[in-house]
Amino acid sequence: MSSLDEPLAAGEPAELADVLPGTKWARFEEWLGHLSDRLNPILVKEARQSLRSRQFAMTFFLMLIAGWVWSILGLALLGPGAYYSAAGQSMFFVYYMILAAPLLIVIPYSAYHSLAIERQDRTYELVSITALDATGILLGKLSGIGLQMMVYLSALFPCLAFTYLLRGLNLFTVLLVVVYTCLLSLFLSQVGLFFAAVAPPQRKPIVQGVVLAALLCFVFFVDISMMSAFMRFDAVDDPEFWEVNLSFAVLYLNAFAILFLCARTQLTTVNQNRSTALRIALAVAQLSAVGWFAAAVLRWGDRHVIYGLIFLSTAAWFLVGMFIVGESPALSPRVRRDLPKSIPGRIMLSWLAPGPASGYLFVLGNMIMMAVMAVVMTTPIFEELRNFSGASSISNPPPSRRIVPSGEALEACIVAVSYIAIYLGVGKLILGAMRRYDEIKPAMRIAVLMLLLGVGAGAPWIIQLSNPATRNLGYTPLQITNAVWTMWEYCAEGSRPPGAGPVLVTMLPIIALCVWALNLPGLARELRQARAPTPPRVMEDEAELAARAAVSTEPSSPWDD
Amino acid sequence: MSEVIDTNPQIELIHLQRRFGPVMAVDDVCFSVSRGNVFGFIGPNGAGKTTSMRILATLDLPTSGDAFVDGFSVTQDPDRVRTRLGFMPDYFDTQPNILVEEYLDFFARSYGLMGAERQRAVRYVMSFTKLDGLREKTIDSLSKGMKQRLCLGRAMVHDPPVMIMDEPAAGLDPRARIQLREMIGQLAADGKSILVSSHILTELAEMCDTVAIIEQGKLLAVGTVEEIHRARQTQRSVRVRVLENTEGLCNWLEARGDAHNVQRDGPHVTLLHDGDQETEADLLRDVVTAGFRVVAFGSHAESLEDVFMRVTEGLVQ
Repeated sequence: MSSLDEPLAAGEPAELADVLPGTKWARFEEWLGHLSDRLNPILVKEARQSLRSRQFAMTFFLMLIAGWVWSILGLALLGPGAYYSAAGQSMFFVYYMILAAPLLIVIPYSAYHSLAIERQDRTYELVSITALDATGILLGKLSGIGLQMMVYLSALFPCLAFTYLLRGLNLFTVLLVVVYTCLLSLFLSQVGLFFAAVAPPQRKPIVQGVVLAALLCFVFFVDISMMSAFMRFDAVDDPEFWEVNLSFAVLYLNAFAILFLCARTQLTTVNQNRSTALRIALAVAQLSAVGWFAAAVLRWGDRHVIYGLIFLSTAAWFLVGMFIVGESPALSPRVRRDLPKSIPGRIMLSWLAPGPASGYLFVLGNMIMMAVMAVVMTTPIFEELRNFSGASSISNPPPSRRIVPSGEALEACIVAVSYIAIYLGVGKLILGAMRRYDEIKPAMRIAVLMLLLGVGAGAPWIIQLSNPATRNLGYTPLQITNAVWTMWEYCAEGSRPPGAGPVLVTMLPIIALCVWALNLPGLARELRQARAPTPPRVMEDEAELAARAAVSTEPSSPWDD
Repeated sequence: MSEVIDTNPQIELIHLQRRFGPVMAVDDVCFSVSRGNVFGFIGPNGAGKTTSMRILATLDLPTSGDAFVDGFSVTQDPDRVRTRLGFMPDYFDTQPNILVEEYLDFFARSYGLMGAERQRAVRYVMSFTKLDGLREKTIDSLSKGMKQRLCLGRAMVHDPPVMIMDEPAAGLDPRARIQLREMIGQLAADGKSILVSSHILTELAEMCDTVAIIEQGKLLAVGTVEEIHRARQTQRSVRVRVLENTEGLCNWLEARGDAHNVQRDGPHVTLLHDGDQETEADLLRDVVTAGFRVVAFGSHAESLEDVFMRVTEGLVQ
């Protein structure tokens, strides 16, 4: 457009670099300009909006006022004792509460509110059709949250620094508390974004808002009490403290990644690949869990934690499977364009491709991997490893918790894998039949699988209760379809269900194999979907972009010089 | 159903279908828009215009069929489509606490424009949409006309070759409407392909090269107003004014037999006939020969509104 070459209109602000060419200030401005170009546009926009927002200004000034009021009041209460008493902790605790309220309640809720409102009034749509994808939008929101955190922290920073000058508190504890709170705030904000992403668009998400607000308030009070205890607990020199920190860091990263990818999935259209990244994150989370449980067995020698791994993994994969087996089996041409080219690639990686059958395979694969590792942890090799690492000389649990017979662990694993194969397999078949009539929404997937589990658990339970002869018998082989009670018997009680072990380990795998076989045609149909060729227009565009990148001096658009 | 064949269309809809439960919102719609053309999309409320436009803007997916923008499929390559498309929906952005210039700057950044290129784009768009004087105003304080111009600015900030505008003139005062029409004309002159829907048919008739009429999700007609008129019209309308004896002219015309639906309309007489312009010339000669003193004689050209009313049946889903 020719009018781009026109000089600036009268009164239009000229670039500083034009006014002060060659000066250090101009170069600094130019550098800042380049830096700002690299920033996420959402961050830039939300920073500008926040600075004018009444909520932000009120929170900031309330924090500031509260901080100063407590500084004066606290010092007045301490009097000359400020010089010699250990008052740092109590002063810091009140400052912490002032800081935690915006970080743990206001910021996460505003993150939720911002995305939910944007989706409701369709502002989100306008942003979603720019070059920013769902990942970019979520990262922008999270960067904005980070910036808000910094600003709130800066308001209380002088107060926090002041507590360090008092007795009874070391700098490291202050730093740790602040870092923990910032990380928790970021995580809760991601939870808020997830809530906003799963809320139905163009409707006021009242339920989600109330649930999130209640959750945030609960976390705030739990955090306050935990931090109060942490400040009194001097564990920095204890290696176990750092091991626990490391395990929490891994858990945090896994949970954060899964929540982020779930939110991204909800914000991405169905013709895109919404599964692969999430499946990788889930597999990594499973591997991490196995790793940490193995480390726990090595460190503390308590092998009964293996049952915890089996129970938690079964519950988690059932939950995940509810969504996965309800995916559409038809891959869009766009997704098919990125399928592996080679046959070995397709064999090895097809369980990561979207689709209910591949997802079913993926869940079973992870369960089997977990089962193998759980059984390995009960073998003598592991005890030798423990002795070799020297952990056995540090801590030893009571003998009753040191031994889990491999046979029993194997049984629990077989039963767990079988239940997952049966319930998800049957659920997949039902959802597949329903899909012929209408689209399957996530709520429907949950309803079908929960109903299935409920019937499987409830029916034998009611039958047993309704018969006076069996009412007080406890667990009986009748409960074979009751996955919840059976797994509870294995994992919480730490032993095979009385009188039902052989029935469970023979019948359940047979049923599971039958259900799996019934699902094989679906899997074959999914595997047959061939890689789609790249459209010629896309290849042409790729070539154009590559040529343009090679000649960077060439104007990239009519706006360029 | 007619189809417009174009060898290098900027917008192309191929057997597009979109179903919402039992309702077929868009049913086998096909048309294309060439470079530099303004294409009008007309239809009653609920006809499927907005759904078709949302599919083109990659905000919705078709149940079957496909749509292409600059050769890229909206279902397969939405990311490439988005960089080539400016969408102006029938609703406003309601972002709080953001200035006009910052708003445009945000969208320019979101489309990947950087540094001086972005500043020039924002400056040009503000100048084009005459928003220069409002750069320091927050967008929630703008009037409807100003917001509409801002929407146009946002849609064109990345200089897309294709623009889609859903009811851009709705609720605007006459001056704002004229300004908008001029801007659309300028954009088309710059080579952009524009798909625009409106209820104000006189506006569309003036700015569009081609129109499509849609009802109940089905495309009823595509072409220029004249083409649709020619394709649909079986009878021509004539309007005659005589100095006196209007009643006599009515009787004389009815007695002829080749004129239908002869009606007296104040000093005028209107009629329909099955012939062409030559028939009209013969009729005029005969009326004068019969002794009627003719003041005005003309065939009535159908407006877009007439064509719309004739083509559609007022059905809604």
